[in-house]
Amino acid sequence: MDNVMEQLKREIEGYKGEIRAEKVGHVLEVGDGIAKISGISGAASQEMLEIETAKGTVAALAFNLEEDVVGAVVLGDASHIREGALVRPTGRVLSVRVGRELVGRVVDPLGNPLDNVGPIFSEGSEAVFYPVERKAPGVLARESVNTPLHTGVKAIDAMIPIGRGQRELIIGDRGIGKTARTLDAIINQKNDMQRKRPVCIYVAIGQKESKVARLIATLKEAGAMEYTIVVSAPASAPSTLWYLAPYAATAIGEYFMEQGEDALIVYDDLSKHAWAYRELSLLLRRPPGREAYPGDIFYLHSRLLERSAKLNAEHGGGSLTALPIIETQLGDVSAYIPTNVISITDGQIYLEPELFYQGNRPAVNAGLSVSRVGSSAQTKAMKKVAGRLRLELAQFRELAAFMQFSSELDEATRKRIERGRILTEILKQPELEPIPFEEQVVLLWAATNGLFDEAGAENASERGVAFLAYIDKLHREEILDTIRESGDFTEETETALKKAAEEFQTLQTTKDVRDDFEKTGLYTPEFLDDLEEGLERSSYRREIQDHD
Amino acid sequence: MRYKAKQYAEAFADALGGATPESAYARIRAFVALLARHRALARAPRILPPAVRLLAARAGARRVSLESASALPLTLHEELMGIFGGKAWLTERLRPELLAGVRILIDDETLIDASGKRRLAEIFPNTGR
Repeated sequence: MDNVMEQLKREIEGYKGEIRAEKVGHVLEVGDGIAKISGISGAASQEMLEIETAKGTVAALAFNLEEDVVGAVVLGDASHIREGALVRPTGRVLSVRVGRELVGRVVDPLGNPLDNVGPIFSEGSEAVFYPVERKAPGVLARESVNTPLHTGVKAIDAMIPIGRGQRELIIGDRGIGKTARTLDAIINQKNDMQRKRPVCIYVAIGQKESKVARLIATLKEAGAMEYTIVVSAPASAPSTLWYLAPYAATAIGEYFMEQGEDALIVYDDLSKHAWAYRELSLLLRRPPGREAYPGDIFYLHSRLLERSAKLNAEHGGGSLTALPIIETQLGDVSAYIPTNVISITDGQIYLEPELFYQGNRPAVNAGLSVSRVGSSAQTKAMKKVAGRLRLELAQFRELAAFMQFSSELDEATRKRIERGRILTEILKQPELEPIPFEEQVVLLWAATNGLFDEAGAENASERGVAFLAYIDKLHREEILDTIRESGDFTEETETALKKAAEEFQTLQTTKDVRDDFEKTGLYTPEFLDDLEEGLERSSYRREIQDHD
Repeated sequence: MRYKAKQYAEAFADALGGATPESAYARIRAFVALLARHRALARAPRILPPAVRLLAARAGARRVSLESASALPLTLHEELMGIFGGKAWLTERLRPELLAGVRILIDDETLIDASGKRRLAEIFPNTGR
């Protein structure tokens, strides 16, 4: 008790009561999270304000600067704000504290922790604040996208490659795997050992709390939370926070980019973000335009996505890759917000409901999907195998349409169609199971070179799994490790892969495999068990046992 | 036609500007009746402060609002009037939650906060203002 009194005395004695005049304003009206404030005529746009209430101060953001009043969005509990309440401008624009300590944490758009793990920043650590609204890097600070960002999704990495610093839109109806594919991309970053692992930021805008919780659990289970930050403005949060979430998360991403690191940011989703902005704008009585969105709805997203960039070496060489998500209604990609974001981004991955319900997952529509800059960042190895894949799939799509009208087909056409079916099967991939890029290269090489032709489309996928298991157990060093380390698919590697593929085709039964191993005497019993396990992953084993 | 709050305020200030104390009451009544006719009574909080601001500006006076935890001595009023050269429209409000001291608000925009509450808040910033 004496200590407390001493401390109080010291603090009071040390206090220098300086009385100064300050500019203030008053709340004229408040409702729906919006406050109209008179006075504070010198307030800046996006300036933080403090509103006095009986329960302490509530933060607000100056949003609309009008002739007589300032329209502000309340960032906290607006229920205690009374008419006439005193408002103090802070002189600061809205900022969020950034730092490495954020990695692995779940925060709200104001940077407050939501994961009950205690404070984010330790006391005494350097406080770095980044403004939530920031100018995008200029032309001179940027360079072309040149480093791949592997998502672990075969269809994407092969046909719609993404580079670090790129903005690639993921668009599609609800419930067809948009979020899951972005989670694949986050989880896969731990597989990409050849490059600096990017810090991943997942921004949940207006998502159900249960979905966010499930997503965090998935990331934790996959060990991806170690390098991920979740910024959540859930469905229960006011639209102000939905509106701020992507900007705050981008500020966090920019911190890492400016440290010379790579960051990946997923905006899930920008449709809801546009809704939130529409709500705020209508409440602030801004004139509505098409679909009741305000006139600056394009600028809302363009200024956000322009902040993703690949910086040149003079500016540290960091990058911020953006994967914005847009939810379409009944597959309508020509609606207002989707077309806006399509025109802003460097490409789009269109997930089609029909493909999804046909069982093609990921339901990527290769025809409508495009990556405008990613191919220059694609690894040589992937480029070599993907070029042929794209061509064969395009031919298949054309012939498949033609096939509906003709029942009699010549042998060459029939083969092309069958190959197309096999490739479609090979590109199927379960959610949350990203595949390292070197394995994708091997698999796609095998598929385009007819290794699975005999198995047919029905068994192609299983044969693919078995082939990968085989290569993984017996040829990891000479094939998989070489591709991963060099990023190239040289003639030597191709020769080794061809040889391995021939071997694989001769080993038709598990007995053959064992005989071969026993003959060479090179493999331990543990290794044989491992191989068995690998083969068990597919029904290929069942199939060859039946054959026996 | 829907008028802006600012237009009402200017008209009201003009109407009151040349009024004698006797006619002012009638003009205020007429203005309230006008607002009622225009169904603009709810907008009165946005009309009256700028009107008062205009009137004060035209009279060359400052609007000074005094807030204190307990009643202030009259000498302080006189002292304040002296500071503003006799051209101050003083209003006083009792606010026990200020604990001690005084808070002076000039022209609704400039605040001089010498209250006990503010001092405590500065000494103990984490306890909430």
